[in-house]
Amino acid sequence: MSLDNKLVSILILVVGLIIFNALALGPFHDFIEDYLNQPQSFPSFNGFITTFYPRLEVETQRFPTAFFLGKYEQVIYRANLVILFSFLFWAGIQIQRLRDYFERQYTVLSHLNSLQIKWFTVSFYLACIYYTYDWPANLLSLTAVQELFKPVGIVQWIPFFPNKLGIYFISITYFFLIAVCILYERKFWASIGVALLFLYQLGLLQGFEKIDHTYATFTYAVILLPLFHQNNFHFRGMAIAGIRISIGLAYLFSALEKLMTGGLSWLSGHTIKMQLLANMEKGHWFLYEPFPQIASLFVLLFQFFFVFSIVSGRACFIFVVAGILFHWSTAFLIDVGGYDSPWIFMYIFLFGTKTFDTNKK
Amino acid sequence: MKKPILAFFVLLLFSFLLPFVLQKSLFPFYRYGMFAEPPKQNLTHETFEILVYENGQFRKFDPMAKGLYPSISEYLMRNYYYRNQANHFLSIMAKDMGAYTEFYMLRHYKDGDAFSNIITLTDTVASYKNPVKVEP
Repeated sequence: MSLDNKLVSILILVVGLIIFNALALGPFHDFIEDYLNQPQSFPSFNGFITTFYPRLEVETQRFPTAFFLGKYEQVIYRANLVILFSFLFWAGIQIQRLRDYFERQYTVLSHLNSLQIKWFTVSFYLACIYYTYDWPANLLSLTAVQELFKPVGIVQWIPFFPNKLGIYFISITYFFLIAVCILYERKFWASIGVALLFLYQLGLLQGFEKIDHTYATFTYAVILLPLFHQNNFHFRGMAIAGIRISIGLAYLFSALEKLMTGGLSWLSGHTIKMQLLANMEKGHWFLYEPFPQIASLFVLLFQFFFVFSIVSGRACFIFVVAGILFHWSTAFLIDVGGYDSPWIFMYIFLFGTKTFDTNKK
Repeated sequence: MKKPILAFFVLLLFSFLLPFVLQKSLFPFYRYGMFAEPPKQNLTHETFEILVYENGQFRKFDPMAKGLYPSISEYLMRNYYYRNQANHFLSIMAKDMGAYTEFYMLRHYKDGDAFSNIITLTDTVASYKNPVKVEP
């Protein structure tokens, strides 16, 4: 790309950002403020917003208009951030050395041999049984309170809670397909079936107004693993690289959320103090300063830089140890997650590609 | 093949970017906002629980009996309380329980300017009594 074209691209970006921000923080900001003060005066817009963000009905009882305006401004700031980073990413891939580096990484990952594929798929589908064996019982119990069910995301396409017969059918099919994926190789359609039924059951469990991140990274593996069953090294490369990147990005976006929502003051340790306060039995020793501040700094640094573990073998080992300590601490101190968290299990995808690669010397 | 691979990774990135920008989980893709709330000067914390009055005695209601994990039932109670529908929530919990059984939703509110100075307040925010079942 010539220098002139680069300058024109930068100019378009700057002018575009100025216009976007002028409109979003000017007239549209005023409109949002009017809407928040008098939602009933804007029935069609209100319908659109409550469809997309049903919790608004609850939250307006708890927080003032300024809180929601803050949320709206956050959307604008975050959009700016994404546009800028996308531009930097685009500029980065114009650099030949960087492009070569990522292509080399991808090539190594895409040449998984049959032993590696077997190791990843068998371990993962065994883990599926371990982490989801109690879902049928939970779902059967939840039929008693199905009036509380509010489907989320893709589950909104099937907006009712299945009856007990339906749950038996779903569960038996799900575990049967997992068994097929474990016992036989290259079962593409069985793994697609596992993915769909996993997502459906998880969606049902999350349809009770509480989003739970326990299976966040695990879900990416469920979705991407069917690509392992295709006899094409590109598909396998995309699957393993996609799973690795999603683990790194999950931590990175957790850190970004903390910085965007709480700002640098998140490091003051107040948020961690509040969580410890809720679990006083184990947490009270750790309420004393400077533990909350040190813990906040560790959490932020760990989450922000974990993404580097996917490209560096040495960093990977250090971050995985830190990750295990991090998840065990949250389980012990604030009863979040567990010692056998699926987030910890997912670390197996960060290892093993070179160890098992018998084609490479 | 290069373009589809790039498209795949861009889509993967979007599954993180969209929830991040909109500040909303789009199941199965999440907004990773756990514990990201801005720090508050006051250490406030609220919890909810249900008590059941049956055969002349109070006992704690276990939401797991209805398949609801404590973390989920806590959220539901809080949401129904703020939507002024706590009585409706209790009526759903009361289904299949004995006649005349009474249900009370309690809200515990911890507050304090320092962890050494915490006070806990408890309010009864809703109640429900199971009616007698009339045989057809």
